[in-house]
Amino acid sequence: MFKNYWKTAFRNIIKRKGYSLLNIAGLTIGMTCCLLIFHYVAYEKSYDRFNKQAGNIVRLRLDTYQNGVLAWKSATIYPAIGPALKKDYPEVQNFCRLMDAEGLFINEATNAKFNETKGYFADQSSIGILGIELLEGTAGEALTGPNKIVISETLAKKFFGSGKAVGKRVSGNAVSRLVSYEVTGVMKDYPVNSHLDIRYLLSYPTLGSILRLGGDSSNATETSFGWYDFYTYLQLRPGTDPDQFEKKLPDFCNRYINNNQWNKTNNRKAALHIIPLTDIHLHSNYNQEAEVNGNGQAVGFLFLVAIFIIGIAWINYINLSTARSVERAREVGVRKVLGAARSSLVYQFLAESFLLNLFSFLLSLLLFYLLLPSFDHFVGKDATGIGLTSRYWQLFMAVFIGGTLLSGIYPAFVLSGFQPIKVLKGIFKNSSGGLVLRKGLIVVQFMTSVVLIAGTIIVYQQVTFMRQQQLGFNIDQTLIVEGAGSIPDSLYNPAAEPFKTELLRQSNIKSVTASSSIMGDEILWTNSFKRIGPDNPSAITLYILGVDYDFISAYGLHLLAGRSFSKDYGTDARSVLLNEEAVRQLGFGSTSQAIGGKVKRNRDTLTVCGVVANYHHQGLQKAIEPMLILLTNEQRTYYSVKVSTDRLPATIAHISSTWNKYFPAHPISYSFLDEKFDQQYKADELFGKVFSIFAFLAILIASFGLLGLSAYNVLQRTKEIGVRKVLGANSQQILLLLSKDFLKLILVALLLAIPVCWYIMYHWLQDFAFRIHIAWWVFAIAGCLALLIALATIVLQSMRAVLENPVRSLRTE
Amino acid sequence: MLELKHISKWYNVGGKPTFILKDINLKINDGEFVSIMGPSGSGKSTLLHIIGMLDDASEGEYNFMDQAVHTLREKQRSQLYKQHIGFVFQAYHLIDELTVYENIETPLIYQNIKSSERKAMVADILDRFQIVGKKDLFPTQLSGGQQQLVGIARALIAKPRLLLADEPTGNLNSRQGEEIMDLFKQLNKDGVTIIQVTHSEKNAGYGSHIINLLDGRVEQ
Ligand SMILES: Nc1ncnc2c1ncn2[C@@H]1O[C@H](COP(=O)(O)OP(=O)(O)O)[C@@H](O)[C@H]1O
Ligand SMILES: [Mg+2]
Repeated sequence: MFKNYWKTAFRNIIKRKGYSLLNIAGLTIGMTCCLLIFHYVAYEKSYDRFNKQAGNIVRLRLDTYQNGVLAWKSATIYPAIGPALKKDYPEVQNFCRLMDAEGLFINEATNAKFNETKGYFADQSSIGILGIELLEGTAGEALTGPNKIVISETLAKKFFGSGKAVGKRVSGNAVSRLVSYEVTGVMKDYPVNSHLDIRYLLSYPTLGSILRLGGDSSNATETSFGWYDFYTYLQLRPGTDPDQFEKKLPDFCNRYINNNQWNKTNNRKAALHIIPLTDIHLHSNYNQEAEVNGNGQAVGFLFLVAIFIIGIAWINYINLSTARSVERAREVGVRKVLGAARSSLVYQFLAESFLLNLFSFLLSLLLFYLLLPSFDHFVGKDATGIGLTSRYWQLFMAVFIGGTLLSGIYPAFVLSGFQPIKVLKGIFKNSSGGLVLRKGLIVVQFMTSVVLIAGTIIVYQQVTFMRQQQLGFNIDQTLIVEGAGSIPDSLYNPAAEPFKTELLRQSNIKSVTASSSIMGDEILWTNSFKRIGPDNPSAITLYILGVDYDFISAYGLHLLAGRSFSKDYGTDARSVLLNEEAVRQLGFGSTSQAIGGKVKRNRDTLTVCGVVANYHHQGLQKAIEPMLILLTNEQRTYYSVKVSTDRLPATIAHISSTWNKYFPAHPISYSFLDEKFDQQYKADELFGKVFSIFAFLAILIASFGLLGLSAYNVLQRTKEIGVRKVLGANSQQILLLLSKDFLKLILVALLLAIPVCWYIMYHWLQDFAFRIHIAWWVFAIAGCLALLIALATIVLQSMRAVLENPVRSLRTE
Repeated sequence: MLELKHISKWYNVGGKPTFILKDINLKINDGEFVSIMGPSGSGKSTLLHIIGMLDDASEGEYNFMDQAVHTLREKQRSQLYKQHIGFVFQAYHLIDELTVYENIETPLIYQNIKSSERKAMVADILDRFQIVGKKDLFPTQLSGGQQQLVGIARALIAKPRLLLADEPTGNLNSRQGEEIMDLFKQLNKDGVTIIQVTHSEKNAGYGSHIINLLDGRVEQ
């Protein structure tokens, strides 16, 4: 019996070639999209899951409230929190802390220098908690005691070539002090699908010993409840409910942090929260994140898009097979007369839909593996190896089987329900119920397509808007040279001014300025400030930018009141510039009133000498923060070099050689500011691109369905068309006749799509501090596009019937 | 074999019942060969469908081989006609996607007969109807007469006791029609009860008696 089902199913697919092709093409595209998106989602969700204990590991984060207002949200916390939690709460089995450490490393044997980022001071426990695998060295003690370093396999090759690395020594200058480290371990390269990029780890006690050598006896790395630079992970005892544990943290904060004198007088409160290790990549977006994390919302969006696209393809199957039910009715009637039970007919039609789906699945599998490398390249992920995780295979199979059954069962029931008596008497008609459903499904397809098209346009508009907006500073032809972080201040300071002066001697270099942060970077230097005034104003958090004398003029920052820093004023070490936002938040009545005003940080009192117009220090996703600009002439995180466009290579070569002359110990590293700034929009731009591709494919599949339906419509109405033509109807009238019903549906789809799309995109835009308004014409364009594509599809199908000699179609009767 | 008592059939057309069959009383014995005649629209097909259990009567009793059909549930009824009744249509109604062999085999599949047995039965009937050479062809590759031959073979494959034929020769030329009628005669001799609808006096003559329908009533 089963063999018979498969056989007839197969023959039916072959016999109705055109329709099968439309279905297979739609399903194959739909499934391939679905597989690719699932692959992407699987990869994004795979982050940190390689860690076998991931389920028990959480990261702490810190919210700081100033006067009851959330002022600062950071992914890093105070170093004393971890040990205190472990001591007080039995559910905390262990903890580990990581603090950023980057710098220059020198192979002591060969004196080869390497500028390395992505390293951390880390507790010994981090090896176990973060799932670090050691290839060399003893996992149990590689980071115990000061002056030890564990390096990645890649780094080991780079530092020492092949051969054993453990036991060798490197000097490193993290935290501006040269320390000789013993290599105590080589770790397997840390997986890329982790929220951390770890290339080396320095033993945590080293940090403490460096501070002590610098004269700090406070043991801050173990006792500080104020230095918020430490990523802290907790390993919870198996069986601990993280939510229950989190409820105990407010009490902990009150005991250890909020009751201290400084926090009380400044009306500051800390709140600790936890986030599961595996949620960090997609759901954590605070200040001081270790890496730029993914966007959980975008991933969720894409997942829905995948389901919708494959759904559109299945709708095609339902529509095409029910629309053509007349063709199958006779077969059903005859089979029933021959004794077929309804169930066996249901099986037969299900077999047909299953075969079609299976074939499409195999094709899409092939396409998936073919396209995977280019897709990964396109989205900028090195994830080809992961394919689909078993979880997502299961999910896909569930979607596949569910969709196949759902899309197969309805037509199967419709088709198997025909009463043989009616069919045999020839009074069988298409049921109007099926017609309503078919119309509804077409509306759903085109609604989805219009939402995707309009969504794409809005994403593009927003990205373009961000790119074209005036930034408030001059970004052109700026070369950013990273400061010589490895060079101790004593050697650096005498070289800095001569370096600048020598560069400026070159006619193609217009200005050179140094600063603590650069446009496009998150400002990590913040302090709490108060305006000094009789009304006893409250403190706010200001973002601090340290600059030299030339920064304001080099970047063309617009001075609204007062003056810029100048060598003519001896007091400028205590003078500061504010941006408008800071003026507003500090509560100076106006920009001019701010001039000469005083602001206070701890015991430090500073005088406002000027106010600069707000400018976008970061991309337009971010709001403009209140900024305080401080003259710190020894500042040297970045040099910004303004160059002219002609003879650029020569200018760059000149900058390099000058650099090497003054800072021979430190290799130069530079980039262009406009490119660096633009990096901030890459993720949104990519989102737009991915979105537009899937929008295009969605409407393509939907028009496949329309193609099939209108072809059938034309076929059924051949005689009617012939009669109408004989009666004098012209081509336009016939085309209108054939497309009217479909176009009505698409208009309905458009009307429904507007509120849905508006709602979704309105929420998407809320992520951007500076955003566009959704314009009505976006929907008009999206709607016209959908309408045009639909119309083209229908006209293409109808043209033959319209142009055919009516006598022919009538004669066939 | 079967008996109709006071069978009526009506449809509601525009709120008013329109009678298609009115108070039909009929008894057909085992081994009969009955021809139903009457003008177009007189209800012949409807009557045949009711006898074949494809359609319900609106009123009346129907006994088939000692079973009260009008009291049976759908499933039991289908079980009954699957076993005992074969249908032949004017338009043949072969399944285009199946070969001659598969068309004939289909009723056996729906009766859950084993594959080896099916093979033997189909082979047997192909032989008997002398269409072995055509078994792998599709219906569209056959002439009308050949198609009807396949239709009859398919109706007989499950060895029914009753063969119902609605204008089986309606689409055939007279020579082909004659062949079919000869075949029916032979089948009847072999013990199959036959009820056929026909317009042709000549074809009706092959039967053992004739029922004339006029406006839904049996003319005596
Ligand atoms: N579902 C129905 N609704 C209304 N009238 C019907 C229906 N089915 C059949 N009829 C009518 O019943 C009458 C008898 O039909 P039928 O039995 O096919 O006649 P015959 O086979 O003798 O030509 C016809 O007039 C036909 O129009
Ligand atoms: Mg008839």
